Order: sequence, then C-alpha cells, then structure tokens
Amino acid sequence: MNTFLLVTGGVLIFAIGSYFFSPIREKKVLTHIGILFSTLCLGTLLIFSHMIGNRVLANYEFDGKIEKYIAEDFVAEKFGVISLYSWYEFRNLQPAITIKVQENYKKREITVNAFTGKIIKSSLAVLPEEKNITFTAWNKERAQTEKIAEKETTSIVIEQQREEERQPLEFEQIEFEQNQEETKESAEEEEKQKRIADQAEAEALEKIKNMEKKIAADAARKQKKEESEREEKKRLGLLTAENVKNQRIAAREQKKQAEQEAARLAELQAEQEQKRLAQIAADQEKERQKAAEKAAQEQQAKAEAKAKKQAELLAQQKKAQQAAAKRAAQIRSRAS
Amino acid sequence: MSEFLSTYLVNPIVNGRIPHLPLIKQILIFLSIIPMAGIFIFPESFRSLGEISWQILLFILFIRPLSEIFTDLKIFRGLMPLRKELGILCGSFAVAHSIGYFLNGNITLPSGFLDSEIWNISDYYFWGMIGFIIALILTLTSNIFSIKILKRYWKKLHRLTYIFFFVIIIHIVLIRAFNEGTFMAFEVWNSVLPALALIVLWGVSFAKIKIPILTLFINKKP
Repeated sequence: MNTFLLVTGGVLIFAIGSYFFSPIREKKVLTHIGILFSTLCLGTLLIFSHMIGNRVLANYEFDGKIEKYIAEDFVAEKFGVISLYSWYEFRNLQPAITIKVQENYKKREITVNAFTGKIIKSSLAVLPEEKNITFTAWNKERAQTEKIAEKETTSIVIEQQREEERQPLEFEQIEFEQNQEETKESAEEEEKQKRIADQAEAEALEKIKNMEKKIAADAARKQKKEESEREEKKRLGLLTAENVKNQRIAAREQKKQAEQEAARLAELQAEQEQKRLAQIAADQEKERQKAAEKAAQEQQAKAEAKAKKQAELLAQQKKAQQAAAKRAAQIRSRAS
Repeated sequence: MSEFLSTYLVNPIVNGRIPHLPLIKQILIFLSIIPMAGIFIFPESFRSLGEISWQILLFILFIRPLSEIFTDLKIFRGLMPLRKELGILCGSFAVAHSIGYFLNGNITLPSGFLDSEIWNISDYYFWGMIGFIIALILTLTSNIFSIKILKRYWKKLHRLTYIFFFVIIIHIVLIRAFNEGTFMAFEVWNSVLPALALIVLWGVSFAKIKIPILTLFINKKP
C-alpha cells in the first residue's frame, strides 16, 4: 500500500508539475495526460477514501479474524428470518455487517458489529433482548453444537453399520442351531425337535420384533426431537436462517471439494509436466553425450591418422637418409 | 495578491469570468470515469455515490433560477456552461449507484427488471429504477452527436431532468421513511429541504422577481 501511495504521489506531482510549472505545458498531449492522471488519482482518493481505508484495514488489521459467512450466519440467526441482502464493511473502524430482513411483514435494516454483535444501526426499534447479544458466546455455542452434531452423526453411522452386520449373523446362527439339532436328535424325537424349532423360531421372531420395535422407537424419538427442535426454532423465527445456514454450509463444502479436486488435478498435471521435462532433459543429455563420444572418436581417429602419417614420413626420411649415407659411402669408396 | 484576488474571487463572482473554464470542464469529464470504474472495485460504496449524485443534481438545478434572481451576481451565469459536464458527472454517479446496488444484492439486471415485487410503487426500489433509466438516457445523450441527431427534440428530452429530480425526491423520502420506520420523523424530510428551497426559487424566478444583491447590501454597483 505504501508503494502504491508513493507511486500515486509521484505521478500526481509529475502531472501537476508538468502542467503548471514546466515548458511541457505547450505540448497539448502531455497536458491532457497530466490532467487525466491527476484527476483520476485525486478523484479516486477523494471519492473512495473511506472504502480504500476499509480495504487497508481489512488487509492489515482484521484479516483472518472473522470470516464474512460466519458473521452473516450470526446476524441472520440472531436478528433475521430472511436476509434479502447483506454486505460487509467497516463503519467507524468497526467490521460491520448490514442485512435487510423482514419481521412481521415489516422490512428492517440492521447493521451489526461483526465482532461484538452490538447493533450499530437499526431501522426499527431495538428490542431489549437484542442488546445483550454477543458474538463470542454465539461463536462458542456454534462450535460446540457443530462438534456434538458431528459426533452424533458418526455414532449413528457406526451403530447402523453394526446392526447391519449383526442381523445376518443372528439368522445364520439360528439356522446353524436348527441344523445341529436336526442331526443330533433322532426321528423319534421329531415332535420335541419341532417344539424346539418352533421355540427357536418364536424366539428369533421375538428378537426381530424387539429389534424392529427398538428401531421404530428410536426413529420416533429422533423424529419427535427434531420436530420439537423445529418447532422451537420456528417459534424463535430461526428456521429459514437455519436453512440458509445449511445451504451455505453445503455450498461451502461443495466449493471445498471442487477446490481439492482442482488442486489434485493441478498437482497431477504439474507432476506429469515435471516428468516430461525430466525425460526431455535426460534425452538431451544422452544426445549430448553421444555427440561428445562421436566427436572424441573422430578426434582420436584423426590423431591416429596424423601419427601414422608422421610415422610414414619419418620412415621415408630415414630411408632417404640411409640411401644418401649409402651413396656418400659409395662415392667416398670410389674416391679412395 | 490583488491580481490573484481579482482573478479568482472578484472577477468570477461579480463579472462571471470563471478562470480556467476549459480545464474545469476537462476535469469534470475525466472525473465522471471514476465512479463507473470504481463501483466494480468498491461496490459497497453505492450509497455515497448516490448521495454525491443527488448533490450534483441539486447544484445543476440551482444555477438557472439563481442566475435569474440574483442578476448582478454574474457567477451563476458564468457557471451555466458547466451544466453539461456536471450533468454527465451526475448521471455517471447515478448509474454507478444503481450498478453498485445490483452488485451488492447479487441481483442481475434482468431479474432486477422482471421481479414483480420490485415493481411496487410504494417501494423505494421502484423509484430508484425509474431514476436509473432516466439517468441512463440523459447520460447517453449528453454529447454533440446526440444533439445533431435529435436536433430540437434533444432539449425536450433533457427536460426529463426535472422528472428525474422529483423521482429522486420520492426515492430519498421512501428510503428515509423505511430507515426510520415512519414518515413523520424529521430525518425523513430534512434531506429534501434543499429541494423545497429549489421549488421556492423556481417560483420566484417564474414571477420574474429580481434581487440586485450587490446594490442592496454593498450599496455599490459593480
């Protein structure tokens, strides 16, 4: 931000200076550019000074302290039924969330400090119970309820799995017992066996019935609990807020999943790209080595050929010397 | 010093010679770019843009009756040539205000026009939409090309400014009433007091009443 301000200030000084105090004034195009720059910079700073200040504060002071959707959930749950529109801003250095809600067919606009839950502005009269709302308490409660809900769902899932596993086992056991009894007892004890089988069957049926009853009772209890909760929420006027919250949570999860998928794909792509690049580099290295080897071989062959030539030359010179020496000796002998 | 005072104070007020008039015109035109571009970066600022637009509109509409009433204060006559540029600036702020409202409420333009709840005459949104349409028409036709095409109809079309003015008054009153919860609060009506003053000035101007303010108060003709 400081650099941004420095650059803007520099441009402004240049633009204004170029217009008023230098011979550039004569050149029309530069003058126009100067006026345009200075007007745009100064005008933006003047018109949006409050918003720029907010953004700076959001980046440097309050970043990461509270997310917009949590603040929205909080305000929607505590104050409103249907949020027609909402926005997040800083009012007098307070992170404020403003929503428009409908209560008893009357529209209402409330601006609340997102940290404390204190009402900054309200189009209708503020109720006494609304004055004591605090964000921290709500946030704690929310975290706790979320944890409990998570635990409950996991325990329900585990229980269901267990029941599913248990039921076929019980049937198998009964069958196995029946078979055993049949093999053990003789034909004379058929009646007894039948009685035992009947008894076992009845017991099994009773067990199943008991289980069914238990499941039904559990379901009824759960439904009743949910209904009572829903009624309670309806009474408090929070049902739609809850729906909105659930929708938001679902949307957030979907977004998260999509982001994860995108990240995974990007990682895969990067990995493939890296592999490809490594392969290309390896190929290039191989080719380079081959070329170097070829060059070395060629050089060696050349050196060998040269050495051979030199040896031949030396041999020829030696031969010539020997022939000359011979001739000299012949001449000398003839002279003597 | 005396030269500076005469150039920048006495001459503009008494003789209506506004210094650097072409430069001011140019700056006003350049300024109208800012809200249109800035609203996409700061959509939450739509309220302040609306307020600025309203103040510029008041300024434009005040110039003519004041120049007709205070005849010896030539500054108002001197400001008359700036009305075109000020009009463009006002329109740009008004359009940016509407766009900001749409962006803030995640409303698309077609849904904004087609929602039956929105076309409720007692809702401030309805009057805002009417104002938005008028502002758009006036801003788009505030150029020499449109004057050449529309000829004598251009002036008639730009009389829509007065309708725009009344539409905006209703828009502001409804917003204030909505915020206060009643029409009876002073806060609802204090924002339109300048508008009432303007209506009075129009009346005075229509009656051709002239107030030579310099002669009356300084007892000296310029």
